[in-house]
Amino acid sequence: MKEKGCGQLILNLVFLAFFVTLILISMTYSAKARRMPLVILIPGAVLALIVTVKDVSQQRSVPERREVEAEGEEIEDGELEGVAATDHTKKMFVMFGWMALLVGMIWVAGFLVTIPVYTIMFMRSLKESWRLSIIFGVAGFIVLYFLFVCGLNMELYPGLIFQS
Amino acid sequence: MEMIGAAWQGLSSVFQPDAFLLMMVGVVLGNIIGILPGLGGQFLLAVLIPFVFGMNPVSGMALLLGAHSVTGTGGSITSILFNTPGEASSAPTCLDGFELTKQGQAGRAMGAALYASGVGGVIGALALLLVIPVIRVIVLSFGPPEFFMLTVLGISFIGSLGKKSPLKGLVAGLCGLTLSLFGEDPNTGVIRFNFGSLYLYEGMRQIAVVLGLFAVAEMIDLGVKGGELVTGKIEVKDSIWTGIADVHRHWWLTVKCSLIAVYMGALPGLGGVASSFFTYGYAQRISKNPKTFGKGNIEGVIAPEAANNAKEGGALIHTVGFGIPGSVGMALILGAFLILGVTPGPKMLSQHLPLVFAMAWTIAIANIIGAAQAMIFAKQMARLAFLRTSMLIPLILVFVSLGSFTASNSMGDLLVTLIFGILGYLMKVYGYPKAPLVLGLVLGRIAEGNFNLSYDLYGLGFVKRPMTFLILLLIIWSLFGPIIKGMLKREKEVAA
Repeated sequence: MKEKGCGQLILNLVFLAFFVTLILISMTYSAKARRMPLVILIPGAVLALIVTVKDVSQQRSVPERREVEAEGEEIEDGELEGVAATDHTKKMFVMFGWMALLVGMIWVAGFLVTIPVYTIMFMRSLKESWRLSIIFGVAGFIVLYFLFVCGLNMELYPGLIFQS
Repeated sequence: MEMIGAAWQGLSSVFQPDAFLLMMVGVVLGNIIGILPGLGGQFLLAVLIPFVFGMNPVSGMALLLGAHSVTGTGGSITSILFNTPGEASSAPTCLDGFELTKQGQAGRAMGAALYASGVGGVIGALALLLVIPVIRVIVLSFGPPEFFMLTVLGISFIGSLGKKSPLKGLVAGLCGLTLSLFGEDPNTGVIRFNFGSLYLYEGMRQIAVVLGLFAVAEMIDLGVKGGELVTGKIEVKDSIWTGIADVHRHWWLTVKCSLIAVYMGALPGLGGVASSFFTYGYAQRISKNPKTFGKGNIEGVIAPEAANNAKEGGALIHTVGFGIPGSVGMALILGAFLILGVTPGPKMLSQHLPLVFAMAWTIAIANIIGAAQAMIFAKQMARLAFLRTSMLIPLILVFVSLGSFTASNSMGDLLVTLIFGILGYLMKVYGYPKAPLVLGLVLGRIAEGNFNLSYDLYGLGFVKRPMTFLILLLIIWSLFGPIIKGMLKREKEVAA
């Protein structure tokens, strides 16, 4: 199965599992509390199942489309294959990782440390110059500190290690 | 004569030097904060309210309403340039605004959005001026059944928002509706779907979800694609005028969407996000080119932007008239009234009538100044689209993470933003529209609350109430109208 088809199937199944799980949880509530959830969840599960079956049958019936776009463009309309697909998947997971890293760093080190450090790390990873990366990092810190902390009196989360 | 005298007195008080200066300060701040994703009007109001202590009511309201009225104007700029709504109500603007940016028409989209915002805001204010004497009767005639039917009408647009696959649009919409049910059931007190987490006791926070779906997902997409946001050259100056001309060309759409938003704003609980999405769906339905929606149709920018600013006039009607805030922003305004020594409600319409008119004039004037101000700097804003993604992503993420966290000072919000960012990206790649999910999330609680009340009061017979039945007919038409139209069209083609 192609990577896009596989990913699509996984997402469809995630939606289906979401609805089915919540239906099961709803059944533990009182009749009044589960009334509205079931009105929404049952059609949701049925529709998610239809979408899944439809997508699987389409992938089987439609012959292979070979619209490999260079550099990962037009991924919504065409299927990526081989090197392009692997590259796209790799980039996607790298970006997921960067997003998770941001949340993790804020949680551990707080906003004031994370924003400049993360900015410099991110820009350097995309091969921006040290000078530009540091300028952006420092500018981020200045905006954060002087505008939000001093100017607007916002209490920013200090992070686990600075919380005390 | 009394009304005309009060209206004149209200207008002249807005032009008092201190009130006018404070309104200008509010407009500048509103435009700036509106541009920053997640830091919308509610954030700005919360920050400014402590400063109005000791001010006279007109000056205090000039600052607060000047700021709150134009945050939607600034918010449209980031929606168009970065697919990142400044606040949740600007989310529908992303759908076509960002597509226009990708086509090199950022200036045109901004011109249309900013001008429509200004026009919408003025219409909203004028409506507030004109409607106050009569709206009381209309709002009081509405009960839970009518409110329930109105939310269902909004939900019935979900399918049409799934441009490529209505089925996937419905799945996303139902997912949003389900998310809206997380947390405490207001009817029974049962905590639903919290998975043992204290964070989910209060339910899923909209701003965290919206920031994830629209901002983080777009940053992931930019990071995967790399390079610049757009290529080519943008002639911003000319394009802005093209956008303004577009609003004139679609003047009737602008007026209609503004009036719809005023009406929806006047119905407590429906709020700005619902009116923006509703008018977007409405514009798509009445458009001559509905298939181009989501692909860069200028009507898809004009409709929600006109609605976004117009709704403030409507929202103020019941806040001022009945002391019932219909949104978080209006609840903050209500708090400010009390700080300024003014008690909202019927008394306000008799004892403080000039202040009510001054508020309406402030909204109108602030919208004109705010739109002009944003248009003057639109060229500089449009240039941001040429930034490399390596610079843009951390820049946007700073504000996204701040916006997500400051909404309720919770790390849980940041985690929700991350999860919905990843989900939003996957939805984009695999053809699931994101807008229905947000619409479902916004309308779900409102629908459930009103349904339970209606059911308890009237049983299922609540649909027989005249206004409820009328709205039900509209719902049926919105669901099956396009199918019937399509069948009739095919029959005509076969006959021809």
